[in-house]
Amino acid sequence: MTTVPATIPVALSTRRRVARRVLRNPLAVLGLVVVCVAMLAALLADFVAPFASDQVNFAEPLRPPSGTHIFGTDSLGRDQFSRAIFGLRASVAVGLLSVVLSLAVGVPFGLLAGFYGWLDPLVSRFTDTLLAFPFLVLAVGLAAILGPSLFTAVIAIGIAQIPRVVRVTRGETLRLRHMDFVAAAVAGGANDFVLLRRHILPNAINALIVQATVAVPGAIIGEAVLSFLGLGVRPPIPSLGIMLADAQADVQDGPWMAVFPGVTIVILTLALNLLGDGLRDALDPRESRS
Amino acid sequence: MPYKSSLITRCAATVCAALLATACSPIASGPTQQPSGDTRPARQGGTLRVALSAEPDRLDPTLARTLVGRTVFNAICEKLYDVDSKLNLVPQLAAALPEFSSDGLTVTIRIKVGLKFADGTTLDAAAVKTSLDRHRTLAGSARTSELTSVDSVSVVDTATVAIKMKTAFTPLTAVLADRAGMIMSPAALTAQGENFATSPVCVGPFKFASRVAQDRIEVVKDPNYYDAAKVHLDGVTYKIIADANTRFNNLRSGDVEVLDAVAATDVSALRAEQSLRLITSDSLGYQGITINLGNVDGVGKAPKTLAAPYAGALATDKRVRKAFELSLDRAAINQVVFRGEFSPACGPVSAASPFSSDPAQACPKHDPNEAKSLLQQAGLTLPVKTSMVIGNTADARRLGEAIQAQVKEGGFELELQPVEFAASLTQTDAGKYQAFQIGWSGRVDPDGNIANFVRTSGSQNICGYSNAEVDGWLDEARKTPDVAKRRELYGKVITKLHDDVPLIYLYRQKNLTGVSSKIVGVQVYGDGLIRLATAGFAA
Amino acid sequence: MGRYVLRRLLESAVTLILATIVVFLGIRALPGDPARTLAGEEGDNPAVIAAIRQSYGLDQPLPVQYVRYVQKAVTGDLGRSPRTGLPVAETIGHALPVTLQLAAFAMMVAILIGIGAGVIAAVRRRRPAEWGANAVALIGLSVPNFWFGQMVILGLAIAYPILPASGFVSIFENPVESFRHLLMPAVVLGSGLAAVIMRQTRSAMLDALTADYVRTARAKGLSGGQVIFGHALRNSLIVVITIVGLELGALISGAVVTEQLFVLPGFGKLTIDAVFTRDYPMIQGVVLVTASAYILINLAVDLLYSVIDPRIRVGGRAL
Repeated sequence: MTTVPATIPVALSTRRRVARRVLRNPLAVLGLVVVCVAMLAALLADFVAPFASDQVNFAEPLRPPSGTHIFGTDSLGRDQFSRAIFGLRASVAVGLLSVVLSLAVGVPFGLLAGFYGWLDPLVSRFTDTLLAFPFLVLAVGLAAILGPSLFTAVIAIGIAQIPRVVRVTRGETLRLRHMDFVAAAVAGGANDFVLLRRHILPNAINALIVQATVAVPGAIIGEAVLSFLGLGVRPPIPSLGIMLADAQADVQDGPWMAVFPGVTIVILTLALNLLGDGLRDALDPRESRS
Repeated sequence: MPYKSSLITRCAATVCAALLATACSPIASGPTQQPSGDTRPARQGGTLRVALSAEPDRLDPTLARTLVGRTVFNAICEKLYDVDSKLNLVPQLAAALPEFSSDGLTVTIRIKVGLKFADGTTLDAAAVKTSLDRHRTLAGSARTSELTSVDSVSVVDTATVAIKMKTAFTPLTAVLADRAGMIMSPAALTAQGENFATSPVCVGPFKFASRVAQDRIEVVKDPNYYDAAKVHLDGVTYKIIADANTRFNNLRSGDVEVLDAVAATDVSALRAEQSLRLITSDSLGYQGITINLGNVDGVGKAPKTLAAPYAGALATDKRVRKAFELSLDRAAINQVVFRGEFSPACGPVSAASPFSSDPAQACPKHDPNEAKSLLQQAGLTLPVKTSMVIGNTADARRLGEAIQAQVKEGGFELELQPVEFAASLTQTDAGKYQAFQIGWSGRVDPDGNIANFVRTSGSQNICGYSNAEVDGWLDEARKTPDVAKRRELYGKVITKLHDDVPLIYLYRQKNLTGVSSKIVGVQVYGDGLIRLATAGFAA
Repeated sequence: MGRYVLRRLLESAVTLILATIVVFLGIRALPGDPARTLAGEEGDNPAVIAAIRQSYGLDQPLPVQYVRYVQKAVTGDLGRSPRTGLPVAETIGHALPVTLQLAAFAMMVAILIGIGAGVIAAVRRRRPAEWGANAVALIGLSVPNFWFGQMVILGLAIAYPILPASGFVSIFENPVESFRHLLMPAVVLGSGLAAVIMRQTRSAMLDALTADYVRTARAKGLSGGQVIFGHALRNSLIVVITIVGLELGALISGAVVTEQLFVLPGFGKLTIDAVFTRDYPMIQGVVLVTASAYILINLAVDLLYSVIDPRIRVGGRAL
């Protein structure tokens, strides 16, 4: 077992070391760059995209990629490149917000379940029940209640990820609460809240970061699946998933409609996964050994 | 019997269906035309595979409600009446068209003698009464509203039933040419009770064999069928393939021979294939936009003034609704959303219907500038904000986005609210919407396409429209057997509807049926049902 | 041990009951009346809708409905689908084998690719082979499977028609056709899982290769291959099997999109259609089956794990 940093300043310096390690990994840097570019494009979509995302042009439906429309146009003559840029915004928003939601709910429950033995069975039954549910039944149900929208997608994907967050946090808490530095803090008179907030949570962060790096690309793909089933963002707002779903009907005459948004998703999630891997390796004690 | 068989072969492809539909009937007015004009003979035997676009619901004529279900019933459950290729009503199990008494309150139906159900029992007047009574009274029956004007059914003799009406209702013949006219085997009804759907027994060229939910329904040739000699196929397998692309790929690869509901986007590819044929006909239904005028308490309740958030100029001012309609370019919608394969429509009656007339086909022009000036006349500041409930499928979204872009030109800011189908029905029934993109599969008699939707407190009047004149014309049309008189009355109704705009009709789908060229004798009329009684593999 | 088993069994029962209650109440909280949905686009007058509600007992108070459902379910009667009129158990009985065959095939694909790539990545560290193996895993994780499905259909069924685009043939009817029909769906469904298995194998192998007993084995002069396959991989497999067990449940419920794309009349498609059509008995049936499968697999994995490695019990559960 590796030694665990006992106090926050040490944890901070660990973080700096991790950052250095990530930056030494060319693949992770590539991922980071792509993610940053995508984030910027999503944020500045209004300036980057050559057309408005909902600007139809009935005179130019289903045009293959060209100088004006580098991703081609869809059946309503909308510029697919512009829609992909705006679509990134929805995909990134769903990806980040749903993970934030799952962390916001899952971490406290995980901490409590790991820390207070009597709460554990309760929380575990709850997460088991959630896990035993088919994800899409949950998503369809929520979409029916809330109406298909970006918000619904965030909630559905966020909720679906809660059990994993709870499990990871709970596992870390179980591990950490028997550590010497926690015992020392207890001896020093720290109350439960301080213990959880200042000693256990900061040290569980590594595991949570790793979990989050898996969850964000998962959520982006989840948004695509929901949109594909008609449960995603509201028209005329584009998302990469909606674009793929729209492409389905025109796959014979406009295969580019399916190819480009798909490739965009793949590049984005690939970059996130590369970055995530870099982070994980940097946080992994084995890495320093070998 | 060489003579007989050669006769059968010769007549097989062209006229057998017509003979089947009208066999033994004195009304038969000559052979109907097969849409494709294919004259190749069919050989005996073979099992045809048909791809359906959706899963049929219960195979119980009393309880069934889906359109695809009607296609399956067409093979296994014949009706008292049927339509021919020109949408005229003709007898099927009945021996002749019904006789209406002069006040229209007694309807006498004579049935063919000697018909046998698939279980070998005899179809007689008592069986007809049993089925009609079950349609009328079974709890949850989907037929009650169609038969609501029927007071009682009585057996006159073994081949005649008399129906006593509460009020005169001429569309009854058309109603009996649909599921309400399907006659079920009383023996099977007794044996199976409410689970009749698991193995339905009627009269038909084929009989039910098996069903695997969400996968397939199999029917086999029925030796007890009165016209069994004209049936070529050994059986039909209906495969359920919801996705249009996949359905088309199955047809191309030869995994199915007949394809129900070809997507408009696949039509050009289908035409390009040598080995495939396309059968088209205008459907009887329509797609459009229903506007909430005063549905506050739910469908069927008296209209009231809408409250927020559903109130708005669209509901209160017919100039605004007209402006909305004027900003729509139906031809462009048809072109970009459906590749020009469907027909723009401005009213509820198909041009193919005997009830169509000039007023029924009248159409407001596309004029966004006029729309804007109407909105200004109404004293509104542009853009006028409104919302529309749409389905959550890719097709519905595409149509919605096209509408949204067009009405923007006319001065509207339209918010699209995609709602999952099941939820949208409940929501719009309850009046919780401003506009709703929805359609109707269509009925042979125009009454079934108009009355329920716009008659005061009609069972599908979700707009909360109420107009005494319209109600009067519709009631009169129900009582009049004269086609010309009814045509004129429906013309008046539609003219009034164009003025009040409770619904905006957008387009009429086409029944697009893909058929492998290996197959002959498949027929599709305006009702969109795939008729396979005389279909077969080309010899 | 006995007490532990008993406790886990009890917990599983509680989870199952909770899941049935949640789904029972959950679907009834959905907007969209099943009777109205049954009436479809045609609609009907309120009296008829009420009659439909009554004929399915939907007018009864919720606890009464639940108790009735449980009473019947215990005897194996899951009711009939109001939509098709067919028994729920029979419908599930037709759909489940489709998904199980698909899942089994996908699992095989995933295990072959995943373990193979995982071993390579662990053994050939810092070499092109590791890069290749990592790329497989990354792509598996990064490609949405419905898009992957669309692309392979476009490529292998339309542009170069080698494989059928859709449909299902049971392996017991015609193994060759079954293989041809299930190959694309299985690869599509299995690709994500292959990535997960690859990573687990890799990290478990890395752990194992640095562990004392492997060092001992090396020290005793065993060859590289013997060490890798005889010791490290065998011990890593325990972890992998756990993942496989857990993911099987997810695979079955996650097959929805794959089944939708390849038109397989399976369990996932059944589930989605049931929710969309508000087919209460069917939704209850599929959730009951899914939840039971998930819980059973979990239970089996936990018990297996506690037998293999008694320390696990202290921590509660695997993973």
